[in-house]
Amino acid sequence: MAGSGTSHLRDGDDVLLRAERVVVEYPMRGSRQRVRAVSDVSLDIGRGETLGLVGESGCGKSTIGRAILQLPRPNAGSVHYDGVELTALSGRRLRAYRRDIQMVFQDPLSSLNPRQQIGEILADPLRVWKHGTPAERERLVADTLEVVGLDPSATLTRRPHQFSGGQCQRISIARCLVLRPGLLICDEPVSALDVSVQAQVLNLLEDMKARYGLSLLFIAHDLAVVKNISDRVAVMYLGKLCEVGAPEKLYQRPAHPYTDLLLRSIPEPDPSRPLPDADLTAGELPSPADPPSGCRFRTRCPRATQLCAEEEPVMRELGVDHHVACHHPLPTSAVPAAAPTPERTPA
Amino acid sequence: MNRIRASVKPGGAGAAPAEAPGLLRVEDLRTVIPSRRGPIFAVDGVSLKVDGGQTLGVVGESGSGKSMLIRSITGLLPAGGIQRSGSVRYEGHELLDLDRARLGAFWGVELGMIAQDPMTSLNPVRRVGAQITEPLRQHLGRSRRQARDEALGLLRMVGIPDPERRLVEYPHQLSGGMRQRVLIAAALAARPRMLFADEPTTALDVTVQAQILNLLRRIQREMRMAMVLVTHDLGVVATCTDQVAVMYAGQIVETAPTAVLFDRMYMPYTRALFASTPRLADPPHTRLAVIPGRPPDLAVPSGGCRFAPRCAYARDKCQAETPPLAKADEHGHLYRCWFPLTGRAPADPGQREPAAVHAAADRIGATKEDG
Repeated sequence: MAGSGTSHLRDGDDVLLRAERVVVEYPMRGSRQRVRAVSDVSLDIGRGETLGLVGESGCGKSTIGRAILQLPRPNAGSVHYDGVELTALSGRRLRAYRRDIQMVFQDPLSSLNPRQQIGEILADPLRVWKHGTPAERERLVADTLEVVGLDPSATLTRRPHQFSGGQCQRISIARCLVLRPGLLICDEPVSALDVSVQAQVLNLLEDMKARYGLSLLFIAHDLAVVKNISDRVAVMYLGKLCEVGAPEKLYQRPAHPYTDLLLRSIPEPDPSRPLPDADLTAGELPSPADPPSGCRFRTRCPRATQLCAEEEPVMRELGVDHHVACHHPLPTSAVPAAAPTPERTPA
Repeated sequence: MNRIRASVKPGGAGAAPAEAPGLLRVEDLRTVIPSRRGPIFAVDGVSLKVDGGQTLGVVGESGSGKSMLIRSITGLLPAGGIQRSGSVRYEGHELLDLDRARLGAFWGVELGMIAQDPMTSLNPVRRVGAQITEPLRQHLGRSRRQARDEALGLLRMVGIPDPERRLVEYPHQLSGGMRQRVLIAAALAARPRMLFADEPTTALDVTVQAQILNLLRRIQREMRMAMVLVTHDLGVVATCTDQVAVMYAGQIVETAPTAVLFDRMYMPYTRALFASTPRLADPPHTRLAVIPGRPPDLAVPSGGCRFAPRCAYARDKCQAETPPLAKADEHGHLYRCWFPLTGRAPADPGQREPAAVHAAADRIGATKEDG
């Protein structure tokens, strides 16, 4: 979009999370200006659904994940979880919902306390929530370790540094799961891992989703990883949402020129395919402190017109489960989206 | 033209051996790092060749020795009793025999290096301009003014807008993508004929990565520069390299021209590595293959194939005897396996190994991963 709008939001009981017109601002160091890291973003996640959120660094995708957790609370907009408006809850009542929404972070080692044993790390959330007796807690911890594929007897009394990155990420996931959350927010959970280990963690997340009926918000910059795990994908650019849709549609027929640019920039693991071309000068991200007027992507967009500078595009429906915020979307019906052809007039 | 290169090249092009020697030729390179637990065989008998204008891709998991290989070739090793043996010949010069000062004459004009992390490779307290003009003045003897003009040209070439302003800025004032470009500009300043790039685009967003890869390719074509490109991104390997070397536990376990390797993988490790990568072409929720276990501890020498403990196809012989780097039928394809896989590479999920193998591997991975 880099635009706004809520036409892509769904109604009904199947929707677990609904974030509407969320705005998150940060003060800028050494100035009275504020940066809008997330600017009027709406998204929803169905029960048992994985929403993949992609975008380049600095687009605000992590910020929206935290805004859902109310850490910090968004400056404007609302977040509904299971029908309850989290943005309107305060103190103790909000705290009760924190248990339901858990987070997995990018760097597994630094998100585990190095001085605690794994058994303590996993039992801590249960103790905080006064769950069962110590014996019951112990059993739940051991069971959960087993479920994420770690041998409890070889794990419980060891400390995080004694494990590999992939194992630490399993432990992080287990720490979330002991509380039986409804929604797991995964912020780049595999980008610090080797490919082989990345596959293990992605498979584990899929298994856990099926086993516990979890919903996932999967935030990542790697489009192939996001496609692998997602039921629905949202593309973000500079604090705005560009395109939302089912992965098959969005990847095969991207409608937003930014989605198209991202997809065309990825070198395919196929030697018969050429290296994606790139315009060396068109690549810089504008500053989020001073975003372009109208559509925020227009400064890098081959299809941009005067309209894009004047009017912010609003999310609209292109087809079943495919929405885009663009004045000049790529054709999605007939042939696969060809190279974006800026309307060229014959000389 | 008054390159220092001329003074360190005594023989010149006169003595050309019968077989094309390659710009860079590494033979049986071994690097041993002393540690409290005994010697670590970080690079263990690697041989490779890179010609002018060619790119060799080096792939493998972390800890497989990819970065140590580059550091061993270039001599950029930390102090502390690290032993190298074997041979690294660059245009006929034995680099292993050169001391630091004499090797220094090769840096910049002959050899260039782009390290993985642009923040720690640039000097944080020196302006960008100084870091790019230094090689120009040191190696090419340019005047201050000439060097500045050339630096501006380099910054423009790597796609940095407003280069005059950037020249007087410090690294922390630049974004990650900008820093990486500055690093590339500095590495290319003295027009090296051989570039070592260690994960040059891993820290970058895909759109910036595409720019940098295109830039490297253009420069490579213009200057016939040779390149050793370390990466874990199979898309980068496929589109940017001529030859691939797959590393495991300090050794090359399979190597072939890029198109050949993507078509046929004999070594189970190569195939497992490729099959574990999610692909854009696969439908959502495609079950990914996993490689159970972890790479071996290089301080503990093992008999047999080093991949055997993690290999779904390992048999008794694999545990007992070390497989040599054997020649395949196709020219230039070598692999280190007693029981090479047949058939085509797993191009699409339908052709991948049966699901049962995946499930089994998954389970082993879950319990055996403990190191």
